[in-house]
Amino acid sequence: MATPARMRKVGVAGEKGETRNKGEVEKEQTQSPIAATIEITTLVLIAAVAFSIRLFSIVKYESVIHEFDPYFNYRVTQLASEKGVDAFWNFFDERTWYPLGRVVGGTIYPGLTLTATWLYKVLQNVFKLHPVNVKDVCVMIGPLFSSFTAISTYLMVRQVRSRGAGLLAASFVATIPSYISRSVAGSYDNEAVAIFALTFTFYLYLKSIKTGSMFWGVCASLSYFYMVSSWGGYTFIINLIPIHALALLIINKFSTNLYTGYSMFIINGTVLAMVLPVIGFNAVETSEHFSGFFVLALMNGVALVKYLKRTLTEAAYNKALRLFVTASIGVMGIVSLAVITFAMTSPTLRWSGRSLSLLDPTYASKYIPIIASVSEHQAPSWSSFINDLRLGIILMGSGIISCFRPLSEGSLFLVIWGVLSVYFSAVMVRLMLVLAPAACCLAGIALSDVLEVLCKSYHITAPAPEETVTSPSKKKRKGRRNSRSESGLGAIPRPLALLGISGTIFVLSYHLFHCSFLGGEGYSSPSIILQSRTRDGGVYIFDDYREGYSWLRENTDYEAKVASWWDYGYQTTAMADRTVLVDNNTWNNTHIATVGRAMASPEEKAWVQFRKLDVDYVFVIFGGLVGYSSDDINKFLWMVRIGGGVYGDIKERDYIGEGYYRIDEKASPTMLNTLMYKLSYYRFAETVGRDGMDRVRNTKFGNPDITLNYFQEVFTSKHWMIRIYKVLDSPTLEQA
Amino acid sequence: MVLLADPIVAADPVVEGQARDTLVILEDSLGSMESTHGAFLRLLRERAEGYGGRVTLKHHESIAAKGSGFALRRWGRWTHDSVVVLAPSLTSIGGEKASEVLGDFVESGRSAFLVGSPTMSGEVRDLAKRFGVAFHDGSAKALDLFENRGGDGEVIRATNYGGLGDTSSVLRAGTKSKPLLWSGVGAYLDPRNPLASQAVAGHSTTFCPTKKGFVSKKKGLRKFTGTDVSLVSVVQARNNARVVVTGSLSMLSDEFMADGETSNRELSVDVTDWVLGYKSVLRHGRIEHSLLEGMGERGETKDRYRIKDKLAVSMKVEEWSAAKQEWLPFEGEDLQLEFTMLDPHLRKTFSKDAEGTFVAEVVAPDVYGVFKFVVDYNSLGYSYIHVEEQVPIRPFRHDEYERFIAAAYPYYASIFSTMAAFFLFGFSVLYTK
Amino acid sequence: MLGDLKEIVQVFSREYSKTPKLLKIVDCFILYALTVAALQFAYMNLFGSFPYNAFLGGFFCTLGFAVLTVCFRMQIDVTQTEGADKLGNLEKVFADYCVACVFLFFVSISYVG
Repeated sequence: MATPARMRKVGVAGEKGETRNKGEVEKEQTQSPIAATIEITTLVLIAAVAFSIRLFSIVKYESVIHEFDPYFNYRVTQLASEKGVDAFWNFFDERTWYPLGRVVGGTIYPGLTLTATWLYKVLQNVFKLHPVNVKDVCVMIGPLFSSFTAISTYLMVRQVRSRGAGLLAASFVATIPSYISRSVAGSYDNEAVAIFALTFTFYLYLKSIKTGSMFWGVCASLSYFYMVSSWGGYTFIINLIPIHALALLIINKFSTNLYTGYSMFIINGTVLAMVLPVIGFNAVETSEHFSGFFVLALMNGVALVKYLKRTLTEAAYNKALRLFVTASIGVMGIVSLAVITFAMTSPTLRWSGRSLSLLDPTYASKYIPIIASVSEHQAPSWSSFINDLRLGIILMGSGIISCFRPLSEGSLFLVIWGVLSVYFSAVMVRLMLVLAPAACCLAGIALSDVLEVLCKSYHITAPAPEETVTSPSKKKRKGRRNSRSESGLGAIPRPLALLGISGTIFVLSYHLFHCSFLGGEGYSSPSIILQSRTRDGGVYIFDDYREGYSWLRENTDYEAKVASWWDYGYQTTAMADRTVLVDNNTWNNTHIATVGRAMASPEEKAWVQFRKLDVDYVFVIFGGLVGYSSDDINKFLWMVRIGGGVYGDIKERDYIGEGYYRIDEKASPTMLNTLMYKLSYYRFAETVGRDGMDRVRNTKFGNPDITLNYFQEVFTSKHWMIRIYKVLDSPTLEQA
Repeated sequence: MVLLADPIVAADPVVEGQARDTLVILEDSLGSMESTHGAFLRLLRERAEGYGGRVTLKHHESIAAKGSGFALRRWGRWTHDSVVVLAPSLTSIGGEKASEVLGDFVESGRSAFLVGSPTMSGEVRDLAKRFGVAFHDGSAKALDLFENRGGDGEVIRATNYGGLGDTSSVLRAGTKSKPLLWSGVGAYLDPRNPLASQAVAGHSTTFCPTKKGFVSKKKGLRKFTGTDVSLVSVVQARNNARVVVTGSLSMLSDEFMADGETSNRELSVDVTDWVLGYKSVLRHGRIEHSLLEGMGERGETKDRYRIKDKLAVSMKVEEWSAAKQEWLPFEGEDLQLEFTMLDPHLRKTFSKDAEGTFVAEVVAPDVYGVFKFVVDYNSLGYSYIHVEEQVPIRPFRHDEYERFIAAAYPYYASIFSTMAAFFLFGFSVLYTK
Repeated sequence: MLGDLKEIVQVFSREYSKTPKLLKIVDCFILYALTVAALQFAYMNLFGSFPYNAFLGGFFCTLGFAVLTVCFRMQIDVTQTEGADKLGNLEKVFADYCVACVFLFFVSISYVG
């Protein structure tokens, strides 16, 4: 295979780029043409690495859309590219959430799909690349935007600190595993473009408050608009920026530029965000957006006070200030009282469930099982911080310290971003993605400081003071401290500096190796195709999902309604092209609870409930034969919890067997009678024998003699991972 | 051989409206049956042949064995459209168990008239059970010591036509005006079974005695008392196959029919007509819909409509006329249309246009979703009608909302005045130096 | 209290009269925009918030215009940015300002109708 070899080559080139940039750091002040060329080449190489490191999934599997949500995005993109953007805005999807339907145009973040559509149109009409189809464009969006992210990170960090730091941060962002996991080829999800939009917005915003130019303010708000249109995580921006501005106000760094940049961003950003149907009036009505307006008002107050101070005489100013303060405290009191009462009474002003679970990490598990049930809403384990961020999390601390000397608007921003995102990612594993670029920027700054000191020491011919080097193990930290105190003068002997440089290069190469390994092995699985190693070293493919979906597509009526747990909704509509009851959009908890309740009911009751919803087919995912652990039996307790959250007749404790949740003989009778259990283990004994083992749970299964009266097995995939049942009609005759 | 001349492919009774080829299975040889039940057999033949059908008579013993040369089902096809079982001791047909073959026969959409007696076989009991009619376990006849003929209570003068339901689609008014002479085994219908109903029920004084005493104290048998005793039961399966079950062979005998004061003859005619599909057979077309007022052209049939659109809905329902041998517009007045998403959002009774088509006007509700038009006609005795037509109702498109609302003019004015201010401002800045 | 206020106003008007004419014009426009914004808010409260998007469009348009003009004023106010070349600065800032305003109007127009 040629591609991995090529990638490795690019990888090495990227490494070289990193090593090269240390020379470039030195000449930063002068910027000779050679340095500029090297810088641009390095940047291009970093972008290339960012792109190619994400192609493992295509090499190992095939060019296929991954996981769950991307399938929906893909389906919508197909519609938009075939029928035009107008049809996209007015897309009312009657093939999902049967019979409610979903107003897709008004509930989707359109950024990703429109980007892909536009890219597809450009490729078709401008470059005349007709063999390229929509799927390929969708698959490649992730890698492409990762390169853009690398570039915009570079721009931002260069803006904040230096060119070298920018390049280092860009190379970190290009290879950080946490980000790779969400942007490999095929991972066609909002996050893939949103992280680019996030970094680019920050870059433009920082630029606008640095220069005070209204033009950049407009650019920043446009970029914010793109961010809003692509990901719900935009609330992070709209809260982070006010916090940053507030911090600047508190440390008395108010300036005309800040006022210009900030107020333009808030006003234009809000007006633009409201244009999107999915945001609409939320941008002025929900609590997530209030901090921006609050800080804007505060900033105007500060500006007024400053103006008065400048205009009035001192005596008059003091009097005015006193008046102003008393008046404003009074007004503030009244306003906040009004806001609080308003917020208490009006339902729209409540915080959304997801935001609340961020502020109070126990909120979701207490009140909203559907949010808690999603694995990416769980708190991450500590090891995943190390594993996913690697060098980023290690260097982040020193990066924060480094940001304080000297503290500028930009570096303060990075610090706040880093600290806040550490908290948020600790609550929800999905938000690790917001932390990743922050960690990269901070790590880039830290490492560039280290390298700067080392390189300067290496180049300066003057003998370094002997006494600075006391302990080699502490050399980096010490060196940097010294260099700072002596305003950048090298303080380390040449050999040690050389050692330090080579050590850094080694660490960086190891980091890159680790990231490529993770990118290739850990995060490239599309999750609809599974791989396992056979004993003789070959690769064995489990393609049951697509087998099942294509069976549905080929063998059932076009109008047939298919029920399954919501995880598979998007895939069913996209791959099987059949109407589903619930899908990954999870906007209607009751509807999902209805399906959960049916799955948790005895066969006859479930049949009645499914018939009421016009269901024709039910399928379950069953991993017991091959040991596929994310199957429906393992998710079943969530169905019970979600169902029980709405319907009182489902109680979780009824499903717990002796001691814990189990499926063997000691499972609870209720459990053994549920539809889910029956559909999963129906005829299982015929294959594995009555004493056979369930390979996921590693136990025997409780009921080998399952009979079905109201459901009929119509399809079971090769490895029994997807089992499709037909919901039978009422019998022709009723027996006495 | 006569059998070879029989049509192998039986016509689909639902499409045709009526049964064409009727098999009558007799308890005794033809000769002896002629002498006891000749009137009924003649009546059967007359009506069938009058409507272009035909009747084949067979003694049950002659067709029981596999080697008898007779088979009701051959190569997966049925040789007859309907079966009249005048043989309570029937056990098998062509080597197959009677309860299985006749049960499958009905489940395939064909009709059956099943007659039992105190001496009936277990197979006949099982078959009745499969149809949803449970005969009383004992072999004793149902008794009514008040309403009877002859005093011993065994021949009941039944007048409780229809029990609780309206059976006018099965029994004519003339039939109901006279008592029915009935003697045989009572049956019980589970009230939870929506398919079976009583055509003739017992009086409150009717009961089914057990060996030990008049009425069993056992809980399960106590239901065979009073009006719960079904004398003649009608069952219409979900596929519109029709079944009549009675526990009295003597109800159809010449002896009971001879008396002009009784309704036995009329009832036989009614029940036979119903079970053979000579009356109350309906067929329907699709639910047609088109736009009356709203988004799009009037009269256009679209695959989805918008909320609040006014729609015209129509459906053809026809009733089979055996006399004219053609489909005529159905005369019923109580056909209703539902517009359903999870629950009916609208329910409307159809009216009829000049051609007898059922029509209704519907305004789509202010709720979007996947709706369906549902016509569910479940009138006792008539063929079931259950049609659904899925019609998604979509919300407004983004450009279909009301625009340029008068109340908003001040806001528009503010925007334009601000723009004007901007130009003014530009000039003043540029010329003030 | 009132005396203080009176004194403040007096001082203010005395000091304010020293500001250049251009800035005074700018202040007029700021006041105008703020007044219109306030009027719209009052109108919305009086007559109900039915075409809410139109209100938001108008309100944010005027508010944005006011804020932009404040920015403009701050950037050309030489007393604040001391030592800057007033004329060159003015033209650059004004160009920026125009871009921002046109952009704002462009977005606001989308709320009309």
